[in-house]
Amino acid sequence: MTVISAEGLRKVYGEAVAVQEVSFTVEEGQSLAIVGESGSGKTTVARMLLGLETPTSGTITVCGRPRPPGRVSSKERRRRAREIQIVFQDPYSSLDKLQRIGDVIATSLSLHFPLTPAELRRRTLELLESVGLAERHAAMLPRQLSGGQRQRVAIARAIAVEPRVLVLDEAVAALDVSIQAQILNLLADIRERGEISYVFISHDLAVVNQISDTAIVMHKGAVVERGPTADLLRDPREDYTRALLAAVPRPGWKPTRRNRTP
Amino acid sequence: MSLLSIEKLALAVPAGGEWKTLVEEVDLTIGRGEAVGLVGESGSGKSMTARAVIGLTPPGARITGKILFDGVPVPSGRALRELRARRVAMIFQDPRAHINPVRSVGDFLTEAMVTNLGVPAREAGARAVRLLEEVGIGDGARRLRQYPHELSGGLLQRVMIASVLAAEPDLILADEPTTALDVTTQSEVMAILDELRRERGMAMLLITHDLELAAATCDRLAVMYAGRIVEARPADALTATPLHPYTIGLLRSRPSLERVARRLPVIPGRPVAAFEADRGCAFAPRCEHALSSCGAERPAFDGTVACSRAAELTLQGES
Repeated sequence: MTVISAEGLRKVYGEAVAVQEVSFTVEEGQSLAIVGESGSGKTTVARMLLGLETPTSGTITVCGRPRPPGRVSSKERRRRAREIQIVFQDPYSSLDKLQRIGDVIATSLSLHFPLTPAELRRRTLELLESVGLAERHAAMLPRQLSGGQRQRVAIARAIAVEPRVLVLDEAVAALDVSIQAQILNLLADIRERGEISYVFISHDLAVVNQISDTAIVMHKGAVVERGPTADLLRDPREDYTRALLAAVPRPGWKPTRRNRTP
Repeated sequence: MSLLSIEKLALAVPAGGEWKTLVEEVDLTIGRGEAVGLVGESGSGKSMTARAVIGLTPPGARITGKILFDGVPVPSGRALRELRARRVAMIFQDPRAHINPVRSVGDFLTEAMVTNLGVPAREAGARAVRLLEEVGIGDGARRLRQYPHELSGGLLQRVMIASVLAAEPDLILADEPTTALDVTTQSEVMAILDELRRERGMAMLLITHDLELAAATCDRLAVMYAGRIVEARPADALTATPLHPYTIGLLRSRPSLERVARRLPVIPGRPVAAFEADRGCAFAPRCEHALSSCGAERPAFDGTVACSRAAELTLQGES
């Protein structure tokens, strides 16, 4: 089953074209990576999927239902939130610094499910545990947690509503190497447990290789190449994809100079 | 004699009525023209170590140990300013935060030449254009009239490198110079830095969290954990046969372009700062090879590795 279908997405800000003619689908349980550098339009695509930006033209269909632009009732917004959730790059600014961790999760839960206080408490702790946090963390404030722990909270909050799709916008980019690996494993575990799909937005090809089945490469707002991630990384067709791959530090790698900037 | 020699460096900052140690027992040398990578995660003390070299430490910090630059202890006051202006230059992660936004690129590049190096103002402009050319920025005359907000992060970092080259220092301290840049831009900026540094025989201390990047651009690497150096060896040897369990873990946990692991081999827990560490080996709580004795006594750094089990683990082929 197709959970996301984006067709001919275009976003224009004044004179600037941020996204042009971007189309893709995400199947149930699949992980799609959107790869690109800054200014490629990858984050704008993510924001359009979530309804945080309105496409200038093009259509987005989530779980078989089109999402036309325009105002929607709060009931409809809640229904849409059950379908798609997002984890942002910066776990420092995406949590309310005055809200305790347990309340972060409980708020998300009570918005979507009719739970008794006891059930709410139990489910909150289950969710914290499922992302590798303990009961004692529920009473803490975001500033008392490390960056990796905060990102776990953001993931727990997102999966609390049992979404069909989780959008991860550079969700591991700001983390230390040893923490990044833990979060990537957590994301793999979550996908194994349920029928969740990922849209994984990243500039990091090694991370993309680890987390995604298929990938699209964006450059200057447009899709330049697409395909199964393994094929794309082993045998890139486009010059831009090749340049991206060549720039990844690895054993035996040397940095290279391109042509001079005019 | 080494260009830079750091011996038993320790650094602590006052916080809440006590001293918080950020760096301890750091020994590090850099030869003339040599590139050394200082690699570590957040809180490892890598930036503080570099900053201590030119006195850019937090106010009230307590610093002990010896830092010799060209055989002489790093001075203070006017002599320190002189050292920073001519002999040791620093490149920061975010060039936008370190270049005056209301002055033009030309002002930024020529000011130091005129005031510190005594270059006549008429010549300074022409020299700035040549420097921009060297870092791959054409149409220099136009660029000199531009302001920082008109340049991308990658271009601005190249302007920063040009400003460092202007002074022809003996040592460049580069603190995560490409972390905020795109990968293709990172490759280019590192290539420029590497090439121009070699041509001029400048030494470099590269501070980074990226082991692969450091290995590709440095002669020797030092890996820091909880304020201490845990392993320091030639770059090729360190990445090919790491000795410290932390280095091994760092190399393994990074996802790869070539293969996909069902699960990445992770280091459990999180990195700690020096003041959070117990009295034994700071890495022991996260180490799969730790014995109870590891938590009792802090292993000494023997110039290569700081792990009491390094020799036997290597023999077992664990690395």
